[in-house]
Amino acid sequence: MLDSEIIKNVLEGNIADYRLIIEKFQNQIFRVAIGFVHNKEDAEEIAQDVFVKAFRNLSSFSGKSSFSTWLYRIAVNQSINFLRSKKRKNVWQTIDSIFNLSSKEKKPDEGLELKDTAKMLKDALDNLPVNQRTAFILSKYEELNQKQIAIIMNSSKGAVEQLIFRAKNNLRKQLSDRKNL
Amino acid sequence: MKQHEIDMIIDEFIDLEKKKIPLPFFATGVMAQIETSDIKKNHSLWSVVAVAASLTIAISGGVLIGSSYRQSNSEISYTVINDHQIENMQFFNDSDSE
Repeated sequence: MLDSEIIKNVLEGNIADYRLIIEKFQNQIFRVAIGFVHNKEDAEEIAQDVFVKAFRNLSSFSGKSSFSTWLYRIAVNQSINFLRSKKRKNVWQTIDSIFNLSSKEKKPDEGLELKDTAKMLKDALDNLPVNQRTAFILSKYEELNQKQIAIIMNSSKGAVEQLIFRAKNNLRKQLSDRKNL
Repeated sequence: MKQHEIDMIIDEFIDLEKKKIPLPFFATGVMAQIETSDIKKNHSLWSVVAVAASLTIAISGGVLIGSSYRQSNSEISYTVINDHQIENMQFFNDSDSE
């Protein structure tokens, strides 16, 4: 069944048909979220919110772009919002940890963990500017071409090409700096 | 570290992350959330309607009761009391009675 037919059915009241949409796109949306948060639980939460939000706003989907483009847009926005709210929570946790230093003393292994390559890569990705990170994730995690990314990001193909190029350079620089420490 | 080595590390990391998949009952969970929020939405809509209706009934009831009130035609009587006559101020001023 075509996406447009499923959407029509759902809008006509056959809510159960929305499951077909979820099953079709869940892995894609989950991968985008993973690219932003690098954590399965958080990515699942984001993906769930994306599908709920898409369902609630289904009537506003005009069909000018493909449904997957529309979903990707929601997923990117939801992931960025999630990271922002997490950052705010982390600020409070940091303040809290300052007042509870004795209860959360650093373990001797923590220094080694921080030097772990995966952790380093996550940090490097998180340090990228939002636009670079979005273009990089859509390109590397979803293997979308520059034209598709440009439509999702409301940008031009050339701009996306530049963003991906800068993201790669930024990552290389960050990683080589850290490895040399 | 050389550039191609860094690129390889990045690609390996991304490949590992791409292998992660959501829980098997992910779709069921989302559908349950959608249906629950739909029920909640209906519930909240009904509660708003109920509150609005009871407020309207209470206000219009008050207005009806108020407008149905008729003032009685009984004569109004006044009592004029001269305080000066009631209290003998001289008594308080009299130093002999202290």
